[in-house]
Amino acid sequence: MSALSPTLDTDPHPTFEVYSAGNFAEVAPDRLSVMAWSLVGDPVERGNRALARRLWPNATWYTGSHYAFVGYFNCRPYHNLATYCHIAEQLPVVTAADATSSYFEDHPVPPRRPGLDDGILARVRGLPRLAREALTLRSRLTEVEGRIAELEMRVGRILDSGNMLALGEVLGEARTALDDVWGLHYSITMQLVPLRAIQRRMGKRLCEDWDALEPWVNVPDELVWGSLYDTVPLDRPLGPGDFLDHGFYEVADDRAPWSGFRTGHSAAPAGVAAAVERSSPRDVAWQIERPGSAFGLEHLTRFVGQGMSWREMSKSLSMRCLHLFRRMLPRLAEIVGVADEDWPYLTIGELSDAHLHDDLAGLAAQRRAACEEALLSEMPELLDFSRPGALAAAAPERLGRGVSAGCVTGVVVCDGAANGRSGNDPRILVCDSVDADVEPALPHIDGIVTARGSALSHVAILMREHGIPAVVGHSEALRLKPGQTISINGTTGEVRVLE
Amino acid sequence: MKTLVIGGSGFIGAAVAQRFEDAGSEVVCMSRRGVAPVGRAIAGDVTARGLGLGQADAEELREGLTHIVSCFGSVDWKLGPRGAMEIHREGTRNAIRFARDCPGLERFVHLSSVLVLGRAEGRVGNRELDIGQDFRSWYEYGKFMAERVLREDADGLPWRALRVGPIVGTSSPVPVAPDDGLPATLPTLLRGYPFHLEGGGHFPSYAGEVGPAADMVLAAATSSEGGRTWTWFDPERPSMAEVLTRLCAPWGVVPRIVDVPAMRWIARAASRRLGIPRSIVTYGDRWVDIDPGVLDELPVEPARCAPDYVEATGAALRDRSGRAVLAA
Repeated sequence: MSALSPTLDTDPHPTFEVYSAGNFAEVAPDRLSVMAWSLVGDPVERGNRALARRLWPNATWYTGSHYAFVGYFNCRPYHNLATYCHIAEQLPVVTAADATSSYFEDHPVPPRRPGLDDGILARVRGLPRLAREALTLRSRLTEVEGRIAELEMRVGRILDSGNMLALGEVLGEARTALDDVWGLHYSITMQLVPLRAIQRRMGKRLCEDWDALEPWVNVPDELVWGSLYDTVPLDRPLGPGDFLDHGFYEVADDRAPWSGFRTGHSAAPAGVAAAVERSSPRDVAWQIERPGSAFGLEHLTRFVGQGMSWREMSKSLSMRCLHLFRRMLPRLAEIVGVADEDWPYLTIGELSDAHLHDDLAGLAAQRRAACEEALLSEMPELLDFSRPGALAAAAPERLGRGVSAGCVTGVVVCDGAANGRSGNDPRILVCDSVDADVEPALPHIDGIVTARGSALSHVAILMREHGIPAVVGHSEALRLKPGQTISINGTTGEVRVLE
Repeated sequence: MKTLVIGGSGFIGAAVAQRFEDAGSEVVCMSRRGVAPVGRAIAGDVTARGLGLGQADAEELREGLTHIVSCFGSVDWKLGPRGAMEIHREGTRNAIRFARDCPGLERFVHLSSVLVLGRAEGRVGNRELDIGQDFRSWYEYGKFMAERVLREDADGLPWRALRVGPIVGTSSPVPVAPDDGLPATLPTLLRGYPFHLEGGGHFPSYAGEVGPAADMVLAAATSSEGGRTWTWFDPERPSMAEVLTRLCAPWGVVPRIVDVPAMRWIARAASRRLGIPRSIVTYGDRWVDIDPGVLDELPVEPARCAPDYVEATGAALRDRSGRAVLAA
């Protein structure tokens, strides 16, 4: 792993110094454009702080005068490892390790910042607010979904009519919606950490073998992605499903170099929604395990399942919202006089306020050169501004983690080859990481192994949704060759090469 | 005639292998350990594609293979969801896949259980499987999934499922395990602890003897008549209370069977201390009501069990590990 190149354009957060590539690999198999990052990283960072502010209104550690990663060149963090750990440490029962286990591939917990209030009162104080937050998630999701649907219709009408005056107004509303939906996504993502931690403690106390049971019962409540792909018309411009045939996070996915980083899964599928299995292990688990004592655990598990669905729902809404920008930005650039090839190198703030900047073309050219240089360097595994020298640390060897129960033996296929099946032999998709856009490939695969990912990564939730065995975060994954026969166990995380 | 008995090193599998050998079949017993009390042994793994056999072994095995009997499966009361899904569901899938590549196959017999019906309401027969029943243990669920896989995935395969109840007896080359199935209740019963049985246990246990059960497997494999699913149990239909009483008889102990629902909760709460699996407690409730007519649907005469097969099982367990069972 190489050290960071001098072109790093990163402002460290004044408090949360550690960032992890962690699950960020699912965001961008390689890089995101500056524009895309300003529509992803910034709102998520703001969501972090907004949540902390709601939970602990009097604490000061969430404040900061500037955001991390205003530019986005050769680093790819998305969720902030230190923030998650910090919030987890502020809650009773939960530990920072619960956060790293859920989303950061069990990465070691970063050093605690001294001087923080971690007394029991401070820890308990956030709990009722977190519960209140949880109770409002569903209604907030519904509200923001309605707003995004309305924006889709308005943007469609504006682009069709050529009435560019209205574009500025809609852009502002879209930015607000994007902030809200990313904030919501972050909040749901964070909520799952304590919920799962409490559930695990209860499970270990009440069930004979919770570790064996957990992968079978923690499955999403609703089949979010399957339903999206199956029920939404993909061909309606700016319809709710229009984003599905695009790179998820990248708004400049139709131009180089970003077009080259798209995964090969997107396609217009038919009938990919997982059939809701009758008498699934989740359905029967509580008939077998519950009698009497596990009543509370059953309900908590159902709430975790809902949380998983909401997380995927908020993710899909974020992608829908980003897609609005994908459609609007070329027209906006045209209006404000920015060259079409330049806008992906600018942030949304710079493009919106183009009149305040003297030389956007020069700025874009400078960043283009930096990007080209950065693309030649390897991505850092971890950005740690609290420990000099830690940046160049080698990537840790990770043992695979089983995240979707079941075992399967099959032939290795890699990214593009996953779309379409020939023969009846089980096929196991092996790749660096995947996002929910792997959905169209799911009817053609019987298992999945990724080099990146954690217990609550999108891929983990998606595979549980479909009941496909999955092992994530396996260091050896990329050494597997297409055509090899392997056996995987989605419960234990074991991957065996047979031929 | 050449028969592959998958799970042939187990209690029932060995008895089945013996019956087929007695009937003049070449018998190959597959097990994880690669041991065979009867016939030729081959090591395999039902959770693996191709049953974990090498290409040469698989080809040699398929050569002239006419019958496959699928007897594998854990009857462990502590079986978890992983065992249920990986051994029973995936194992059955793999066995079906293997069977599809056997050109001379005349019959694929799947040994199922009456417990696939879990806690179904009303009277049920051979046709019923997925009827919204509740399950008491992962073993029941595993057997249910295996039979469902068979019905859904084995199209075009000459399959037949034989459902049996708890099987005991002494006529298998492999002795009955002391901590699986009905014998798992012995530590509680022999200590004199009260054991809750709904209605005093006067409901059918669907128990059967291993030798006659193997006879029925042979009949299911060779008969061209009858439906896809058969059910067999001791035609005398001993009740649960009767079976448990007879099982304890060799120790001179009369089990303290009570009809006190609260005992169920107490036993469950104290299961760890008593050293019994929690799920066993729920078997004190009334079992599924199977239509006795299923025996009349059999195209052959239902095999009869020896009058004292339950007592003989208890005696064998006592002689083999009597002290251990008492002290468990």
